[in-house]
Formats: sequence, C-alpha cells, structure tokens
Amino acid sequence: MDRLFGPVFDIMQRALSLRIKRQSVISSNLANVDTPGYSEKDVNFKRLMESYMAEKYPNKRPEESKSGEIGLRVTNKRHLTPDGNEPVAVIIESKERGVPNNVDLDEQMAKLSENNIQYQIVTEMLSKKLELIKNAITEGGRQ
Amino acid sequence: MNLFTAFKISAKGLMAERTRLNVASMNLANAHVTRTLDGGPYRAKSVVFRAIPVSKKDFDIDKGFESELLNALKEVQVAEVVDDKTPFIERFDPTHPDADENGIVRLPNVNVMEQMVDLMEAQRAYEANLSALDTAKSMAVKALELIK
Repeated sequence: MDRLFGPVFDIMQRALSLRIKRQSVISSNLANVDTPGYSEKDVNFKRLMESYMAEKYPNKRPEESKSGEIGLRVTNKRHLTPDGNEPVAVIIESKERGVPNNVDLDEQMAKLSENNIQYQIVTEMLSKKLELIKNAITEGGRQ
Repeated sequence: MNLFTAFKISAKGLMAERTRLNVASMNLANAHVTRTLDGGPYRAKSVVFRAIPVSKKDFDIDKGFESELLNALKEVQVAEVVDDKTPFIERFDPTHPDADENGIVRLPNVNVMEQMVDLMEAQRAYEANLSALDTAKSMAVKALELIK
C-alpha cells in the first residue's frame, strides 16, 4: 500500500482531518457570537502539521538552519522537541473586545472561507493523485 | 470527531438565533398590549445565551489533541428567557379603557427601535451560522467527490 500511495496520501489525510477540526472550532465561534463571556478559539494548523511531520517523517524535517536559527536536531524518536511533544492545539486569544465576548464575526467568516478553500485544495490534489494512479493502471488510457 | 460535529454546532447556533428572532417578534407583536393573563401590561422579554460543551460520544478522549478539542468546542444554548425589568411606559390617555383614575395608561416597556436592532442582529448571526453550515456541507461533498 505504502509503495503505491506513498507518504503523500498520509499527509493529505492528516491535513484534511485537521481542516475538518478547524471547521468545527470556527462553527463553535460563530454559534457563540452572542454568548456572554465566550472567548474565541482556533486550531493552529501549521504547528500541528509540523509536529505531525516531525513525528512521522523525522528525516524529512526541514532544515531549521535555513532561517538562520540554530535548531535542535531530532536524531532519536524519544528526543524532546523544543515545543514539547503535545503542542498547544487550541489557542485562546484573549484580546479584549469588551462585552459580551471577543468573537469578531468578520474575522470568523474570513477564516471560514480560508479553511474551506484550503480544504478544497487538498481534496483537489488528492483527486489528481488518484487520477495519476488510475492513469498508470490503465496504461495511459489504453483499454 | 467528524464533519457532523460542525453540522451539529451550526444547527444549535441556528436554533438559538431563531429563538432570539421569535422573542423579538413576540415583543414587537405585543408592543401595545395592556391586558395579559397575569394582569397588567405586557413585559418585554429578552434571551440569554450560554455556551455548553459538545457531546463527548464522537470524540476519542484518549488522544491529546482530540480531548483538547473537546474542551474547546462549545455549543450555544438558550439559557433562559428573562423579563425586561425597565418600568412600563406611562401615557396620559383618559379615554383608554385601561386608564387609572388619573387618566394614566401603563403601556408595555417594549422599545420598538431596540427590538428592530435585535432582530437585525439575530438575522446576521443566523446568516453567519448558515454560512458555516453551508461550508461544512461543501467540504463533505468535496470529500465524497474523491471516490468518483
């Protein structure tokens, strides 16, 4: 299976599942737009994806020295990463917007469509990948 | 957890905003009612929302991220419908059948302007929840298209 589909499928699957989770969180923010005392939440997609990649594909981890920083290299699976193993997934932003809560409707709508578009990008890539495999199976469309 | 969690949360949001809409409509409809079953004029009502945790059953609580997500996700619920405590509007109208001996009629404490604003606000919030639901739906459809 792994030779046919490769790590790309696994990564995309993870990305899709994270996007779905983010959709739920944004829905929750929108549903509570008028709830007193509610504070908005979000899923840090980049960080979660990075930690997943680091865990699953340690060799493919991007070089940290590129950005000029000297990063700690993970040479053993049991090494602790600087962020710790379980990243803070859901950030509670505590910027004050007064009563009743700090949910900004416009911001949430923008996040909603951004998340949707990113999701569609991944599904599109997945279907292209499947098309490629299908093409190989049918020998380039020959019957 | 799956996409249907987003569906459920948005549906609860729609329900809550609809309740708000209903209450604002009720206030507007009863803006001139001087006789109620409890006696006295109609008292304006307002809705109080509260955030409650989503149901646990769709989540894998043993996983770190899933349990964190479970704590973060909140559904909205109508906590209660409360009476507006502001005093009734008093108007001098001796011809009104409900006027007291001084000719003062006590009218409901409904501020029509306020209710209209509330109505619009509820409508916008309803639309926002509907958009979230629509987005979740389109995501589900996209995922389904993968198997075509």
